[in-house]
Amino acid sequence: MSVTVHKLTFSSAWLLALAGCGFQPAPGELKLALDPRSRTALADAPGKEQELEALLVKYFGTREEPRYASIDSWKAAGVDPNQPEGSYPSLAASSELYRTQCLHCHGVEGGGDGPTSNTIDPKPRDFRRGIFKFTAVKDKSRPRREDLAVLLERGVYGTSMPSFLRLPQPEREGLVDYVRLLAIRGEVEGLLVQSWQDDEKLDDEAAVEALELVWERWQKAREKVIAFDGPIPPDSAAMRTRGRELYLDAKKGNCVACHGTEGHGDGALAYKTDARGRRTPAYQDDWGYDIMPRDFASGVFRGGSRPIDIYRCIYAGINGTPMPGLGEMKGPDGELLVSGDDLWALVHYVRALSERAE
Amino acid sequence: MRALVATLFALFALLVVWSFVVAPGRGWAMPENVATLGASVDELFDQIQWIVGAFFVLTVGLLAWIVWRQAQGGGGSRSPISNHLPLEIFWTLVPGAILVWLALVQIAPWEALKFSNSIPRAADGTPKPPLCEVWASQFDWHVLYPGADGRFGSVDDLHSPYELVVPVGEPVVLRLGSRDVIHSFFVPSFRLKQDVLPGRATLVWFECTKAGTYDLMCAELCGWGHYKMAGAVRAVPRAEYEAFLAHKTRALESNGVEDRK
Repeated sequence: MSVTVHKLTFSSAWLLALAGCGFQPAPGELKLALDPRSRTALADAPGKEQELEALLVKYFGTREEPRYASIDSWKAAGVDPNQPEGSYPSLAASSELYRTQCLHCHGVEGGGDGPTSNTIDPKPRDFRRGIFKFTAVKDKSRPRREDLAVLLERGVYGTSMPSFLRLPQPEREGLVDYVRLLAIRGEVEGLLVQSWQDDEKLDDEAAVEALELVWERWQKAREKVIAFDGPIPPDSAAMRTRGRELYLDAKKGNCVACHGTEGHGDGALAYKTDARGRRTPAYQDDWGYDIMPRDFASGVFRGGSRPIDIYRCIYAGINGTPMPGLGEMKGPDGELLVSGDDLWALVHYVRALSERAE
Repeated sequence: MRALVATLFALFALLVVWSFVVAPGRGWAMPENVATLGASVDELFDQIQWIVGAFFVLTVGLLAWIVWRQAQGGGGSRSPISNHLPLEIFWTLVPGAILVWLALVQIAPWEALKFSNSIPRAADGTPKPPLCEVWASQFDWHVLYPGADGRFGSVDDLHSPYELVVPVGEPVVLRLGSRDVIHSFFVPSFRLKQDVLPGRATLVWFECTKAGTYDLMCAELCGWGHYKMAGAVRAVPRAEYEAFLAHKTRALESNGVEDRK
C-alpha cells in the first residue's frame, strides 16, 4: 500500500511540476515508449530497442503526430487508415483528446498504466494486445470500431470506466480511431519482438508483415458479429427452468463450475486453496490479474445487461478470460452442447439470477 | 503607505460588491432556476447574501476607515477597549438574532424540499413511486428505469448511463443509491443537492418547469475522478419521455442483427 501511495504521489508531483514549468518537450522526444515487456525481451540484444522504437515511429508516428505509414497493400486496396472514419478531424487531434480524457488511466501508450491506474480495481485495459473483453464479435476477434464506440457510450458498468456521453459523438469517434491505433501499434510491437526472438528479424519487411496481419485481424471482425435471426425467444418460467438445468449440467452449460450454484461467482473451479489455507482465485486473465467470476446477484453486467449482451458473452465467451464460448462448442458426439433456444434459456436464467427483491 | 492600505481595503469591498452585482449578467452566478422549488432556495440564498454582504462591507469599510484615520495623523483615542459590556451584548445578540431568524425562515423551504412527507402524492393519496433509480459510483451516474412491470431490479429494467431523462412539468421522485462511497447528487438548475450514501436509499423530488438539458454533477469529493463525475438531466415533454422509454425497451429486445453491417 505504502509503495502504491508513494508511486502515485511521485507521479502526480511529477506531472504537476511539469505543468507548472510550462514543460514543452523537444521535438523527437514525443515518441511513444516501448512496452516494458519488449525492453525485457530485447535486453540482451544491444541496439535492438532503438531499432524497434525507430520502426514503431516509422509505422505509427509520434504521440503528437500519430500516423500510419502507408504500406503497399493498403495503397493497392485504396485503404488509408489515416483518414478518420468518424467525423473527428485527425489522428493528431484524437491523440490530444486521448491525453486529456483517457491517459490518466490508460497511459500514454495505452498500456493501462496511467498515473491513476494504481488506485483502481479492476485495472484499466492494456490496449496493446488488441484484446477487448466486451464486444459483439466471436472467435476472440478484435473489436469493431462500433464495439469500442459502445464502450465509450455505455462505459463499463461496475468498473471505473465511465460513460463518455458527455463528449460529443465526433470526439468519441476520434478517441476510437486513436485507441485502435494504439492497440494496433501494441500488437505490431509484440509481433516484432516475437520476430526478433524467433528469426532475428527486426526490419521493414517484418514490420509490414506484422502490420498487415494485425490490420487484417481488425478488418475481419466485421464478419464476426453475433446475432440471432428472428425475435429472441421470450423469457418464461419454463425457459428459466431449462436454463437452470443447463447451468447446472456439467456436460452442457456447466456454468456452475465457476459461477456457483446460485450464481454468486463462488464455483469450486474458480478458487483454490493456497499453501497457507487461504482461498484465492484459481485463474488469471490474459493481463495477469486474478479472475473472479461474475456474481450475477450483484445486478451488474459489465458488458451490458440486455439479453443480447449476455447472449454474446455466453456464445463467444469473454476474450482474455477463462470464460468459454458455448455457442459453437461441440460435445464428444460432434453435436453442439447448447444451441438455439437453449442458449436463450441460459440467458434468461442468468438474467433472472440478477433480480433483486424489491 | 497607510493611505494606500486603506484605499486597497476600500477597493476590495467595492470589488466584491461589484462582483455580486454583475455576476448574474456574466454567468458567474447560479444558472437559471427551472424547478418549482428553486425560487424558495434562491430567495434564501439572496437573503443570506445580503446579510453577509452588508456585514462584509461594514467590516472592511470600518477597517479602511480606521487605517485611513490613522494615516491622517491620528485624532481620537488609541486606548484599547476592554470589558465593554453593552458592546459585548450588542455583538452577541445581533448575530445571534440573525442566526435564529435564518433558522426559522429556512424551515418552510427545507420541509418542502427534503421532508419525506413532502414527496408528491399520486391521485390515490399514496406517495408517488420513484420514476427511476440513480446509482452513483466512482465516477459516473447510472440511471435505472423500472420497465414495464414497475419494479426495480427485475429483468425488464432499462439502463441509461449518464443521462437522466424526466418528463417536464410533472413532479419526479428519484431514488438515489451509491455503489461505493458517499457522493452527492447535484443539479444546479433545480437548486437540488442531496448526499448519496452507500447502503441507503434516499428519495428526492423535483418538478422541472422548462424543457432542456441540465448539468448533473457530484458535489461530494468522492475520489480522484470527482471532477469528471458528470451526468445530464434531460427534461422533455411527456410524449418524448415515453418515446425514450420505448426506444430503450426496443434495445432490450434486440437480437443483435442491427449490428451486422
